[in-house]
Amino acid sequence: MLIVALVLNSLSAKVSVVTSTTDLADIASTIGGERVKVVSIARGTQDPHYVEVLPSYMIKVKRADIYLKVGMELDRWAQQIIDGSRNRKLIIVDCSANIPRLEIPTRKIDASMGDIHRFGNPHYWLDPENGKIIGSTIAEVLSEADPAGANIFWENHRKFSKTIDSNLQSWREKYASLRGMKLIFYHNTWPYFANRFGLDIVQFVEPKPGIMPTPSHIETLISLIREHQINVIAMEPYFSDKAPKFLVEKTGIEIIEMAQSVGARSLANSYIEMIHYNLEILKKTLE
Amino acid sequence: MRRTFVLLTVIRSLSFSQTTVNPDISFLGDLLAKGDKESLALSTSGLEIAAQGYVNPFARADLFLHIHDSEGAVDVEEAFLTVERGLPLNLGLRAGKFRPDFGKINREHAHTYHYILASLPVQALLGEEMWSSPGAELSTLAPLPWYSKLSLSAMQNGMGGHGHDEHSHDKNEGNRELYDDEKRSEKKEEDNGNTGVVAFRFSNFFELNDISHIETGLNHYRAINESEGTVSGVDMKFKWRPDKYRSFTVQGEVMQNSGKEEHEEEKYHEDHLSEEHEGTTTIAYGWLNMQINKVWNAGFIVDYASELDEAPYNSFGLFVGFSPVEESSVLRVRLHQEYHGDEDPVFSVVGQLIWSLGPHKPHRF
Repeated sequence: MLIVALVLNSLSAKVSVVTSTTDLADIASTIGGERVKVVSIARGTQDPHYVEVLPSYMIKVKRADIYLKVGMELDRWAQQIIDGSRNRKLIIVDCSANIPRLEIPTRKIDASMGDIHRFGNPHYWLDPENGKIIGSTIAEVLSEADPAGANIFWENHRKFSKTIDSNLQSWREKYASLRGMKLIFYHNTWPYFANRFGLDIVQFVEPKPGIMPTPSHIETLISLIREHQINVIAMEPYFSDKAPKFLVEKTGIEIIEMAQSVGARSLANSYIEMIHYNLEILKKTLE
Repeated sequence: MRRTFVLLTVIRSLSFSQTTVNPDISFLGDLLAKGDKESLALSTSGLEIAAQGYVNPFARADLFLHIHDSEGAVDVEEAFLTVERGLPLNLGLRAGKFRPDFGKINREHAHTYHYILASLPVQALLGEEMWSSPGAELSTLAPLPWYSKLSLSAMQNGMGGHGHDEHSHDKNEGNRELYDDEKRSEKKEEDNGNTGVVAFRFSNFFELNDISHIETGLNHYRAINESEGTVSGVDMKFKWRPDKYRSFTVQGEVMQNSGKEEHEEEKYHEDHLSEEHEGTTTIAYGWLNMQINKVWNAGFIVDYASELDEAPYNSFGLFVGFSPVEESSVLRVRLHQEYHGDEDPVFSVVGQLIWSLGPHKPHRF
């Protein structure tokens, strides 16, 4: 009886996956379906650059089969969680491995340039084409961890890619008016998204990545807003809106909060919804 | 032409491989200022150099050197190997010279103190640079639903020393001068202990919800030579962090030093905490810190010793911190009032500018 129970239990055991961010968690859930149990360390509303390492996260990873990292030094904190978990069997996957990267520094970088990532801009999941690549990486590792489910994972990946392709087609048509739209972002989170949908990033509220805006930079932004007739500052919900609000006062520009991750805004509860939400909120500013 | 190309390729690949295998190297420096009714003193505690990285897929190494400003002497504060993944039974191992897992403050580096200076009773008990010694530490995660860790450390030197080698100098010399107490600034040059000690810690971490957690610890320290004393303690930390830049943290610790018998070897903490080498001495500290926004934090610290230099001691400090550029540089100010026995209260103002070059930071949000 006990043996039967153990066998049934092992047959129904799910692959346990822990991810650094909610974006990877959502894609892993989509690819893994019923055969995986997925938990994200960072919440969608959190800045993925800075996550306080808590021992409770180590317990989550201790019980996991797979850890999915964003990579490109975005989630450097993940390594401390992985080490602290003492999980000898954990499969660690860097989801950036097959991504075509943007903004790889071509000269020596140092702290005077702000928080520059030496392997390129790490916010690659914001391009839906990269979502398909992430899905492929995840399908591969899930197939390794659970060979019996390989066909299901690859079939789920095929469906996921098809959904992205069909959405991309409709997004291109529906949001064609966004092409060439000039805007200011708070932080350099959006180059992949901007490239895909043809946005024109004029400047950032941060003078350098991770550096708070200075009075002289604010003056520059005011001039740029007036010169280029920019109507929108787009920011992530976790940044202070003090400087953007000052720019609103001075120029009448509009602030919008975009979803940099799944769950960052209430209407961005899945990967597809997140991309759709960001396009929709940008379009509304044109109306 | 082809040879030049090959040479360039080799140089490029060598430089790449060196970059990728180099450990993270950081430098931390500071400037301390203390003012009271009579004087203003500027000092620096020198330079801390940290090198940290993986030795292989299962182990990492951490090295912390301290170059003292006064005489340029270099101390190995810590140099140890940690094996965290790869051992059976959820075991972890540290070996080398390090700060054992005993209480909360013993593992915290001075540059992370919001309150600038460690409390004097804590320094008197653990050592001016906290307790560091050659030794080995084995820890395991208990098979419980929450994070529960047991650590057992076997160390060469007991607590209460300067925590560094025989050529060492007092890292907190500047700090101690700031207290302006001749008796307290007297330091022992000789290393102490060398009898072998063991320490035990049982800590538990509970995530109360998405934004708050509590950590508790039970600690015990015993010298292998039973004529030496024991130290027992409890600690607690609570943190509420609703978003990236706001938090509320409370941390406290109580330690009791007891059961000592008279012996010839003088120790720093014995001199200060128990002149009779008998009975018990209780010390405690507690602090509260509020991270108000990205750049400002403020809080207070209190500490207590039932006996320090033959008299009860306690102090109260208010502190404020300013971190203008992320975690790389911090300006801190502390207003400090000490009460020692029947002496008049001593008031002082302490300022600190601390900076870092590299990933080892003086401040975490």
